[in-house]
Amino acid sequence: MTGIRRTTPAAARLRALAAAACAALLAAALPAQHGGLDATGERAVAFTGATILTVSGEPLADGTLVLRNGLVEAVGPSASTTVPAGAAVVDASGKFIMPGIIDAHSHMGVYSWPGVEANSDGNEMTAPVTAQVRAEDSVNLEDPAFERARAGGVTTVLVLPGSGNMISGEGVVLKLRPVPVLEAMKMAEAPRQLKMAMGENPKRVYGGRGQLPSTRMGLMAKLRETFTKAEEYRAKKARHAEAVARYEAKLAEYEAHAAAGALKEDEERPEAPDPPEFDALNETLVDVLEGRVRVNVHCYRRDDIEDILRISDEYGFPIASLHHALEAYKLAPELARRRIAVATWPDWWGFKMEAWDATPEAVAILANAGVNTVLKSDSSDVVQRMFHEAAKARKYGMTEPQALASITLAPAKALGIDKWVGSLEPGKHADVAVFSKHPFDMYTRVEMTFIDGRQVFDRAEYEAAQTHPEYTP
Amino acid sequence: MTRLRRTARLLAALALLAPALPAQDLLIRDARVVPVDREPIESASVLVLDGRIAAVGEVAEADAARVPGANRIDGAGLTVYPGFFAGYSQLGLVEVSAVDVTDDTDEGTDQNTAQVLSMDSYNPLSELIPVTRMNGVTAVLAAPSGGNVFAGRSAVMALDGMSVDDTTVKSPAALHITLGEAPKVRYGGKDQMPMTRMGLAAYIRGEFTAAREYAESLERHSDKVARHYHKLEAHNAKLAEWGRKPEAERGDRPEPPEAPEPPARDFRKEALASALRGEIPVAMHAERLDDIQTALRIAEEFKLRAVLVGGSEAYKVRGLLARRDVPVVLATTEQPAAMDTLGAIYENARLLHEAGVKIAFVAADRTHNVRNIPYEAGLAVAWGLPYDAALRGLTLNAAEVWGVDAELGSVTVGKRADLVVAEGDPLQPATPIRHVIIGGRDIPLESRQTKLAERFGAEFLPRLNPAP
Repeated sequence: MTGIRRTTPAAARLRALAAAACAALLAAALPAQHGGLDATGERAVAFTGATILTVSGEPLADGTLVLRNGLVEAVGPSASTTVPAGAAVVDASGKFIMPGIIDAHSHMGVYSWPGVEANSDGNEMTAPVTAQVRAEDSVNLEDPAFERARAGGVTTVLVLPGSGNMISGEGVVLKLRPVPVLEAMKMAEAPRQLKMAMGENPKRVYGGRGQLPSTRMGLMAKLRETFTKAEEYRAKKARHAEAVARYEAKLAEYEAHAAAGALKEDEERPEAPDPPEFDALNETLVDVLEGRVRVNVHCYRRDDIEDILRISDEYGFPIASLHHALEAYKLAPELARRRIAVATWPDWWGFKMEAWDATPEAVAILANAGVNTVLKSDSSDVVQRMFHEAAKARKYGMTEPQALASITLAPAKALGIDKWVGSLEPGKHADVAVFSKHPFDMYTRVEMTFIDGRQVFDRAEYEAAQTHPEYTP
Repeated sequence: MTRLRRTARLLAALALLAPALPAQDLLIRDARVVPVDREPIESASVLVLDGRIAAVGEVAEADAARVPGANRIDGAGLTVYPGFFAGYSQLGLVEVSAVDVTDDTDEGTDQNTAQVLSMDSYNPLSELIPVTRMNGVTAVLAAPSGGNVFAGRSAVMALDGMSVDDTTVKSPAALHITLGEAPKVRYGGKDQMPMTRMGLAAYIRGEFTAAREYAESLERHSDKVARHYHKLEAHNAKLAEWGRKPEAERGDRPEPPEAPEPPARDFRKEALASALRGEIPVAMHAERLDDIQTALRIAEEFKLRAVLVGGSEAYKVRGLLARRDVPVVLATTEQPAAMDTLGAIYENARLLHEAGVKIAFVAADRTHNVRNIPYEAGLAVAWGLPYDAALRGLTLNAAEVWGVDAELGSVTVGKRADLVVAEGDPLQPATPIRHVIIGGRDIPLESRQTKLAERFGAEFLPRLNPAP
C-alpha cells in the first residue's frame, strides 16, 4: 500500500481492546431508552407478524425477521419462517420494520451540538486543499445528536468534513453504536471516502481572503494543479520504487560476489536511493487517483457537475457520489451512464444562488433515469426524521420502493457498503428500525432501533423516562 | 388518478397560464368540509361570492347559478379546509438567502428599528410564493427577522396578488422583539449594548420607558393644545372686544397666546407606544427558559399583549403561559442544535396544548420551505398533539394570535375565501392537494419548480409519464 498505513499492529490491538471494553461499557452505561433486546450472540431475537419492508425485495405483509449473532438470520413470510428455539419473540403485529436508516451526508460529531464556535471542527479552512485531514479525528463522540439519530431509526452515517475547501479531507463511516469509542463506532468494512467541494463555498472562503480560488475558473485551475502535482508525486514514488528495485538487484549481486570472495577490484557496496519526501496530502490524492478512495463531491449547479466530470475524465479517477447536486436532474442520463450516485434533499433550496434552480421533483427524475438516488440530511436535526424526507420524496413522484431505498440501500451502494447494510437480507448486519405505522405516515413513530443485533433505542423506555417538570411560580 | 384526469388537469393548468381576470365567484359542491371553528360537515357545498365565503352547507340554486360553470368544483372525495396560515415567516422578504441584494429581511442597522414595516420589503411576485402555496399555505405572517432587539413590525399577507396593497391583510400585525443570543452577538460584537442578557433586558425596558414618556409627552402636548385653544378663544373674544371699542379707547392690541411647541416626531417610539396601548401584540422571540421568563416579566411590567415565538423550552413554563394567556408560535422540527435551543423536545406542542396554551405553527425554515408547515403540525400530532388542535394551530389559532380571525382562519360565512381542497388529510405528505383557493381564486398549482422539472426532466417525470 502506497498510502499512509491505515492499520498498525498497535491500532489493531487498540481496536481489540476497545471492542472488549465496548461490551462492558454497553452493559453498564446505556441510558434508559435503549431497551434490552440483544441478538448479538447465539440467542436470537425474532419479530413476528410485522409488515417488513426488506427494501431488497417485495414488502412482506405478515413477516418474520430473525436476528442472531449480530446479523439478519432469516426474513420471510411468517407462515414459512422458522423462529429458532429459545429466541426472544417480539409480537410486532401492526408494526412496520425496515432496515436501519443510512445517512450519506452528516456532520455529526464534527459540528457537535451545541453549535458554538468551540465545537466547530468540520472545516480545516487554512488552505483550499487539505486532503490529509480526516473527519474521524474531529468527531466528538459525545455529540448528543447521535442519540437523537438512533431514536430516528438511523444506524449508519457518513460523517464528512465541510465544504469550505475544494478538497477538504476524508470522511468516516460510523455505525451509531452507543459507545463513545472511535474504533468501536467506525464501520470496519467501509471503504475510504474523500470529500470535495465545487462552486460557491470554496470561492467564497478563499476569494474572501483575496486568495485563489475566487472564481469557478480559479477553482478548476487549482484542482488541475493539485491533481497534476499528485500525479508527479506518484511518478516520483514510482521512480523511487524502480530505483529501489535496481538498488536491491545490485545489492544482491554485490553480496553474492562478496560471499563468493569474488568482488571486483573497484566493486563497492551500492547506496540505497534517498526516498522522496513523505507528503501526507499527496499520499491521499494518489490513493484517489488509484481509485482506492471513493470520491464524494459537494456541488449544486450543472456546470459545476460538468466541471468535476471533466476532472474525473482528465485524471482517470471515478466519482462515487455527487452531494446536494440540486441541478443534477438536468443531466440525469449522463450521471446514470457514469453510474454516479446523487445524494440530495427532497426540498431544500434557495439558500444561495447555486441552490436556486432546484425542484422537489428532481429526486423522481433522477431515480427514473436510473441514477442511484440517495436522500441525506446534512443536518443533525433532519437526520432524526429521514423517513419524513423519504415521505416527501414519495409525494414528489418517487415510487414507494425508490423512496424506501433512498434512505437505506441507495446510500449503502453510494458508500460501497451495501454488502453489509441497507436491506433486510440474511447475512447482513442486524441493523433494524421498527415503526408504529408505515414510515411514510406522518404520524409514525420509531419504536425500536437495532445495530448489529443490539437494541439501541426503545420508545417505551424513552416515554417512561420523560417527566417534563414545570416551573410554577 | 386516471390518465384522462391527469391530462385534463394539465390542460387546465396550461390554460391558466394565460392571463385571466381573477375569478372570485366559486362553488364547491358536495365536499366534506372541515370549518375548524365548528364540527366537520360530511357533505356540504361552499359558495364563494366576490372572494368571500357566502354560504356553507346547502346552497340555493339561485345562488349557485350565479357561479360560472368553469368555477364549480365537484367536491366528491375531497375535503375543504381553511387555508393554512404560517404564523411566522420571512416569506416575500428574501429571494436568495445568501444574495444580499435580494435580502430585505433584517434592517440590521440599529438595536431598535421598530419603525420599519415588513410590508415595505414584501415582494408579492417572489418566486417563493407559488412554491409555498403548493401544499396549501394561503397566508403568512411576514415578519422582519431578528438580529436587532426591536426588529420592526410584521404584516399578515395573503399569498396571491400583484401588489402589496392587494395582498396585505393586516399591517402592522405585531411588534417583534428578540431575546437571547442574536442581539447580543450582533451588538456585543460591536461593543454596543446589549452585550449580555441583562443588558438586553435593560435595553428593552429603557426603550419602552422612553416610548411611554414620549407617549405621555404627546398627551401633555395635546392637553396644552387644548388649553391653547381655550386661550385662543379667549384671545379672539378679547380681540373682538378690542375691535369694537372706539379707536381712542383701544390701547394696545391684545397679544395672541404663544402656541405650544410640538415634541419632535419619533416613529420608533410611536411603534412601541402602539404596543404599550395594546393596539398591536408584541411577538417576543425567546427559546431558553430564562429568556422566556424575561419576556413574560417585561410583558407584565409594561402590560404588553405578548405572543411567544420560538419557545423551545416553553413547556417548562406552560402553566404560567396559560394563566397569562400568552400564545406560543412554535416549530416542531426545530430540535436542539444551538446553545439556546438545547431544551427543545418534540412534545412541546402537546404539553403546551394540554396546559391550555394556544399554539400556532411556524416552519423551521422561515422562507423557502414554509410550504412544509402542514408537516410541522403533523409531526406534533405524531408526538401526541390532538389532530384538531394541530389543524386549529395551522389556521384559526394563528389568525386569532395575529388579530385577523375576522378575515381568515376558518370556513365561515363572511370570511375571505382562502381554502385548501385536499384528497384526504393534508397533514400527510402523501395527500394530493387538489385546489388552493385564495380570495376566491382557484390558484394554478404550479411554480418555477414545477416548470423546471417539466423543462429539464420531462422524459423521466412521473406525472408526465403515467405508468401504462
